[in-house]
Amino acid sequence: MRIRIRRREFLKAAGAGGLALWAPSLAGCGTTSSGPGPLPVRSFLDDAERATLTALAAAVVPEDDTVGAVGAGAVDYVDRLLASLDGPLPDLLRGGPFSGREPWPDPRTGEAGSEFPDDDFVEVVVPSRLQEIAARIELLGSDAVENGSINAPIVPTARGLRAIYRAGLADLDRLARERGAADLASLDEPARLAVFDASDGDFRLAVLNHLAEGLLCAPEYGGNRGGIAWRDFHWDGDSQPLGHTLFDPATGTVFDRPDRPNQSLDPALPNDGLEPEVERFVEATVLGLGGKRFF
Amino acid sequence: MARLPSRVPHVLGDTSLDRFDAVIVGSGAGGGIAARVLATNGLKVCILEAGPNWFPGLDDPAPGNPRPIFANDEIKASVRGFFSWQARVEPRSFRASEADGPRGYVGSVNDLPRTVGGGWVIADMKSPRFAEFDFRMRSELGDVPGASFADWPLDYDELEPFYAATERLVGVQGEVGADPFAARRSGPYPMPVGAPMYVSHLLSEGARRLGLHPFPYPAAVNSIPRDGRPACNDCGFCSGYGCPVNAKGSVAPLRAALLTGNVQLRSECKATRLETDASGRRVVAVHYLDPQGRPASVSGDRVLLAASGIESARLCLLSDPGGAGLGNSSGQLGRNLMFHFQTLAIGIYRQSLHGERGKSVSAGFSDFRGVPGDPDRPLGGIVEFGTNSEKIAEAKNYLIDTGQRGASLKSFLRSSPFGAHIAVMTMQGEDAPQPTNRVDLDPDLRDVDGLPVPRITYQPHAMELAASRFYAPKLIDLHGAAGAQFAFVAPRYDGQPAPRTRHVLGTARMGDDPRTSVVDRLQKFHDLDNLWQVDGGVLPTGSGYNPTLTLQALALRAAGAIVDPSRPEAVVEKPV
Repeated sequence: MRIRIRRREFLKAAGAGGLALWAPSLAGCGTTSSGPGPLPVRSFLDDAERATLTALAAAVVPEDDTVGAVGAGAVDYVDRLLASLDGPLPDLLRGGPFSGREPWPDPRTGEAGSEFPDDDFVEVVVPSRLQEIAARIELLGSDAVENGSINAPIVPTARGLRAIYRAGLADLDRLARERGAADLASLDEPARLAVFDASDGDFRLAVLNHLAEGLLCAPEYGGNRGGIAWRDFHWDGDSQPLGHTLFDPATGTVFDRPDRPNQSLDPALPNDGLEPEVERFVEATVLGLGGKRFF
Repeated sequence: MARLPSRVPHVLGDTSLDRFDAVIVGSGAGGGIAARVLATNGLKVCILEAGPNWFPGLDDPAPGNPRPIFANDEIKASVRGFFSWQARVEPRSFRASEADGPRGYVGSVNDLPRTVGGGWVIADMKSPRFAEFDFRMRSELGDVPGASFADWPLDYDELEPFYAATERLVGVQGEVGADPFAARRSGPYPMPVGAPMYVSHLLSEGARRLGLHPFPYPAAVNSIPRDGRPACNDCGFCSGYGCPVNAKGSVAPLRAALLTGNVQLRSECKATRLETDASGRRVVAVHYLDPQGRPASVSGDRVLLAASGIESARLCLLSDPGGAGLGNSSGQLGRNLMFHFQTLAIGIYRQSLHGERGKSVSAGFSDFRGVPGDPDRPLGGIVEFGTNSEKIAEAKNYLIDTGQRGASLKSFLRSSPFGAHIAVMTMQGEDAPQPTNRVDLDPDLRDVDGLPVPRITYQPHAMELAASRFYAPKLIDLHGAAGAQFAFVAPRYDGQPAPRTRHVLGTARMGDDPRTSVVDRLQKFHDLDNLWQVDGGVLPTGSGYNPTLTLQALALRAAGAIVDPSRPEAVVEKPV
């Protein structure tokens, strides 16, 4: 579908410098990732802890015809997060604007071009003072930061993620041994989930959050290897600098990418409803909330 | 492999300036546009911004600047606090009423992002105007028990030229005449509308079947190249994200202000106190913590607060330890806090709606804004047509909120009921102003810098609850008319005890009577000779429309009146 921009308005904008400035504006953005040398990938978990987390991840988000947490690299994602304070600055926030996965638009036609920007997501963003304090509380606990526990006991002191994971993973193996297994990995997947459900609440919440993140994050964070989960679950991922609608500078029209329509049904996506189990869940939830089923 | 970046400078603009005609606290929607007016008229301005600067080149006149480091990156923007601190660093407390004791909750309470450009940076830039009747709600409604409706000290006609000027300065796309309920306009929108999302087509067709009047949502996003910025390419990471290609108009006025050479912007500088002279009527210094957390101060002939309804009130309260708060002889400072009362109607469709493509919201309707005094059309708000675009948040919904594991979880991830198949209509219901809904300082809690934190006391009024109940079934039926398989209304408040609308209004009511209002009709504090407020805090009532364009038009007018009280409209659009 094409949206017609009235030519008079377009020419007015172009005449004011908008069009002339647009292409160089974008072209310059790709140069921001040329920082100093690479940082090594760091690790916090030891081999036994990684094995336990891997066994847990395989049970919570298993592999089938779509990628699971282990195949996506979610364990690496968690390990990098836990080690993120070990470098010269916290490796928590990555740069932008582009990843290099999508091309520049052709400046003559607006359609996908053949040039790709650099991957700015490999850069580490320098956090602000308060962002760094927040990161230290998150990873190391509130007592590790001056004034981090200033509101105790009204606000209880917070354990850091490192301590939560270290204790939680050890606890999983201990609970597995109580069930007669050597460790968590020796249990079948339903038993691993039962052990997980009996573990510490803070640990459970951290794991569930981080497995979701490690499954579906931008690959530069360590998970979602090569964008596999985005493809398997039919999600576009980052689309800049091409985006989803294209602007033809010659005619002043906006039009959809042929491979990813924005303004209309995309026949390449799943358009035939929910799987039966999911549909039953949704129906019960919707009706329980006073909603309606229309067909 | 990760790489280290170059640091983005803390201080932007003319770093040699050390004497200022005005100090502005906050670089967001109101502060940025006020700075533009003052700076283009020759005033020297210092802007203090608590958040970091993510706009390299914002003060560089070379084409192509700024080059923001925002990205289509859910981890950075939504998970790891790129825009908002962890609540442990700068928490807020909350209670529904004084009966709850000192507080009932500690954490995030409708926080706005901390960044150069403020909350407007991560907005999807919806920019409708208020209706004419919004300026005279007390006259329209009379005495509403428990509420404190007031007429504004100006009417729509007085603000209209500033609405038009703001639309030109920020760059708003829209279609004249598409909304039959819209207030009158003196001219066209600066830009035609851009591409509508698929979900907009679906819901617009459903709305028309029910006799409603959908229209392309006015938005401060480029639909064509304009003002040195490209057209939006509908990347999909709009609401909650900064624009990677700078198609949003979020910092257009701020950049213009910086390019005058009359502005110095100090980022990562958290204002902590306003110091007054012996008379108590003049602010002589703004104290703040610098990027390293060290105490510092800056002075100017005038001070403009633009830190949001909550943070500007907090600063006034911090400036009068043990007292009622700076500028609070009326007792109204911090009161009449409004958030908008959102009603979310969720539809689940058989087809994929690909919400990760588009501007988050590209259409809506305002039939449900209602008519004052008409029981058949109670006062709700504008309705937005949206979807879900965040994949990680969706997966967490399945894993954490609904407890899916293993093969069952994979069915949810493949089916994507709350992702690819979801459409969301959001009604921005007007919440009645109430003097008991307020900001004060928590008596016990401190942030990591040792400063008392804001305490929010808030509960909805019967008016907005009734409107929500009235319109909710109609929204569900609209989903049915649009082809949804299921539809329901989301439970109120998703995890936080207060609305998470990012519309923070009231707390410094504007009015002519110093006994009942905090700032005057030109937004100067009644109690002080050189202190103004130019954020959403000054709104006497909140309307049922997205508020940023209105708070910007007010800030434009207030700044224009500082320059030329007799003809403010003549000085607000001077070129750089």
